[in-house]
Amino acid sequence: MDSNRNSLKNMPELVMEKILSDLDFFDLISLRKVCQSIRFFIDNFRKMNPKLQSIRITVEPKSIKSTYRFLDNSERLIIYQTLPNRSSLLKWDQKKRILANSNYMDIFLKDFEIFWKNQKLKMEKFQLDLAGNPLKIIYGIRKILAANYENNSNFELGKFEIETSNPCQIPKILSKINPKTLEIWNKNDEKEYWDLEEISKLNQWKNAKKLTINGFYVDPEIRISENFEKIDLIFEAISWEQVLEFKK
Amino acid sequence: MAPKKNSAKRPQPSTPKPSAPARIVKVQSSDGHILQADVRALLLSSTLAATIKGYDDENKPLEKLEVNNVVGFTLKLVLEWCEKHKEDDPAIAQAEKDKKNIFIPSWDRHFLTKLPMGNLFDLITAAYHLDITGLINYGCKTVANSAKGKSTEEMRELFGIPEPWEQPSTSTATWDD
Repeated sequence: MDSNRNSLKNMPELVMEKILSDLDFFDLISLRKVCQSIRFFIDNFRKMNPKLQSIRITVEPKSIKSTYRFLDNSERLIIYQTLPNRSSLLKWDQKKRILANSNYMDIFLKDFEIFWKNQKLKMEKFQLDLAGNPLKIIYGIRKILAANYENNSNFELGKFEIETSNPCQIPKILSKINPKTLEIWNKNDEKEYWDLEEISKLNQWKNAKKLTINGFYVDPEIRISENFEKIDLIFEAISWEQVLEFKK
Repeated sequence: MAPKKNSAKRPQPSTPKPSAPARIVKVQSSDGHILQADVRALLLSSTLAATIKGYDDENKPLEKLEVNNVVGFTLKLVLEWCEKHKEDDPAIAQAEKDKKNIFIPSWDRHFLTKLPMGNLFDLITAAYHLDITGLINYGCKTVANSAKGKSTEEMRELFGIPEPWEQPSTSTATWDD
């Protein structure tokens, strides 16, 4: 009866849970890539909580950098890069790994999903720095955020900070999170006009308590709702009446 | 003894300990090996303890215990572990049952880390079937320790799990809403 050797794959649930409880989040990420049945178990492992303080994602034309900062102030940087011949390069700590036949964006999204999906209670900051218009990543991230958002399994998010030269990307992400503070930066050096019409309709816009917009001119006609306790904006031209209005 | 505050309802801890000299019984593995063990060591297994109690309650002589789901090689390891721990205070095992940070004593660390991974999993599985809390805990902790900080490839090698033929699906991204 012992011809089927016992292995990690067929351990009883209690044993599996004990083993997993002892591993940190990065070990679990490596372990879940070992095989399908282990991945299934880990993805349904309720006690999994990365205990994140913040996530920073920097998207460049051929690479993605993600920095996960934990409650104990430790930090882990993972870099995903594209290589010729449809392969990807992953770098973390002092380690490197090349994955053949893979797209670095998919690998990043899967890792990010595990973090986001398992985060509990609250996270201080989510930072997104986007070069160009990386649609696949934006929609990938949006889908992951949406799954939490729509299941109501969302954790509390302190601040959402986004740096982009393409402000139409912002509502795509913002509509799937609920940050208390919103900070927007223009990636271009020159200040540009940004029409707040679309974003100001979002509930998230209305629910935020603090708002900072850097590097974009906004229309002073825009209705800034009363919810903001603190606002930092630049207007291209503003009439004295409008200044008085805002001062209120 | 000064009475403690909340001890009114609590019954006196009186776990009946066999104080008699070592009582040796035969234990038979699933593949027919017959081993010998001190009953006190076997009591570390909740499953075997219940069986032994059944015999004692009915005053039946206990000659041989059959362990139908553990092979001889593994059973020998189990009994070796139990023999080593038969004098442990049962309260310690109870306290460690759900504790997160388990410290593995050096004897156990040596005993468990020298085993090939396959044997270790056999041993953990046996401990699970026999419900031996301490051995499950130390075994799981040993497995976790050996996996810590390893990459996916290193873990595959450690656990003897071959690389899957197909790459994980790469069609997760959706472009539309």
